[in-house]
Amino acid sequence: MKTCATDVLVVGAGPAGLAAAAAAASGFGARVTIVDESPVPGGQLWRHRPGRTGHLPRVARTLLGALSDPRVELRTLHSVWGGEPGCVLVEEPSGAALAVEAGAVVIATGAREIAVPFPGWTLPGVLAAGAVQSLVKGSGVAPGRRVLVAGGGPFLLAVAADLVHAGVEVAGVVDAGDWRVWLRAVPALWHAPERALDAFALRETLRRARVPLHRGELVVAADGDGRVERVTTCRVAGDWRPREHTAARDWDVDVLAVAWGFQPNVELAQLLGCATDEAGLAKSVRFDPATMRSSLANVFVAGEVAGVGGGPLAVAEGRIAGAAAARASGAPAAARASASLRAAFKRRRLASFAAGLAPLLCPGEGAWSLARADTVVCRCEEVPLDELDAAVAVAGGSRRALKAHCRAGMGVCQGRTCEPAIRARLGEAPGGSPDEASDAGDREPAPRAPLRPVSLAAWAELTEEEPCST
Amino acid sequence: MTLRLDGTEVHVLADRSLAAACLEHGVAVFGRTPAGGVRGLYCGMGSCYGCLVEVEDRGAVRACLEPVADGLVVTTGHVR
Repeated sequence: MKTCATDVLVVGAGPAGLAAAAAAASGFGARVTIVDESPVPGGQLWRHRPGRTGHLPRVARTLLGALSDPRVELRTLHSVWGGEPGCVLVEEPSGAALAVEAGAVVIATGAREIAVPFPGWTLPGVLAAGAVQSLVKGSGVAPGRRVLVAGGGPFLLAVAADLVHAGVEVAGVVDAGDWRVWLRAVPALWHAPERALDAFALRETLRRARVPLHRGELVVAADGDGRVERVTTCRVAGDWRPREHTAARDWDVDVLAVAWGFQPNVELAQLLGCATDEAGLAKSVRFDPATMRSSLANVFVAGEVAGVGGGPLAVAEGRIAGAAAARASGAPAAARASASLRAAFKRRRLASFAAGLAPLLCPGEGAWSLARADTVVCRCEEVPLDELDAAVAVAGGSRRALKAHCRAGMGVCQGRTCEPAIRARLGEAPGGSPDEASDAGDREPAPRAPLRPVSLAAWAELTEEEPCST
Repeated sequence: MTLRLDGTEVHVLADRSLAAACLEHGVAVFGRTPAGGVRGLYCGMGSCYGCLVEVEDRGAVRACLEPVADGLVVTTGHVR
């Protein structure tokens, strides 16, 4: 197997990863290798067409520009699929396997959107809001003719505004959270008052484009022949359950962009052996805020994977993690202490803001009751809700037994999409501890290699003599 | 650049994903399920594998992560 060595391996070229790479290379003179699955750096938040960075914030342009540092090597279209902290297994675009030996690793794998099953959600034209955003910002392509943006949380406004700026017709924005949810977010603004301006600017964009905004209303179904043609929404109470005696509203659209919140991509961290904490219906990687070090020596985390908190927090954490990783890998130079101090203060302030915003960032209870008996919950294996419920009844709380009975979570996406819905169905309340399970085998097993499907040829390259035989 | 999409030659601008190119040319159904259902683009970031399409000499690829390239031969609608 091909191998390469570096001081710091950064997994993920989003805001956190780019900040970590810049801190490690320019602050400490470390050799840095960044790997990312996408063809273009910037992650989800800083999606752009190559060369077109004008719409990105200044820090994004600076950090993308820092990629030209000769000490930094960016490998796009590379997928991490296994290994151990000192030696990580990567798949190159050609399908060949590569073992990367690094003094320290920074995991900046970001977050993915929470998926809520509802009738018609598997119809073509129902897209995660982030997918719609990446189509317009990353490819300059409209997702369809007329878009309804629905779900819950502040991301709805951002995506709707991006669509408006791209000239796509937005039928409306439908947010299940009502004014009370937003009121709860006000204390969080104490830590980051500038974010209030961001929210105001987004609302103004929508108002000027005459895009109607409905609060306290939830999308309940999508219908159409072969693709979305009609979406139904109805008014809901504070817990997102439908209000009594309320009529449903139909929308004539061919794209439904749904936003339900985000969950950290912790799979690589778990595979390497890092400890995680419960975060709602998902997990985040446990870290020491002073250094962003995980529970493992020489493995650091930064960005959404350490807890959903937005771009500026990801950059601050990346700077701290990159510096700490460079030091841990024994890089030659020493950075100015002030840069790290600034990053630490910023991290604390923004983390407080993120914590205050947390209630807005995941779906209300009523969202998990939208699916009907025939609604597919596990898309990969086509497991409908009634089959999942039958398996839950038999499995007695054991995730392994559940998988054996209905295959939910065993498809090609490896459970990434259906995990929150399954956890909700199992009745796992936010904050519940997996240690409550009676038997170690009942807890969710940690991910194992491969984290992504890889070719048999790549597996075949692993031999007993290799440093990373899994 | 020129792609061959389900047997038809289509022209696409560079610097976009294969998924975007498919949507532009009217492809809504990226794949099919064994039970006869349809699969489409969903997460747009390589997480859900709904956008798997067949690229000649490469096999199944996630269209949302695949940059368009001149001469790519792509077929959609495969049962996965």
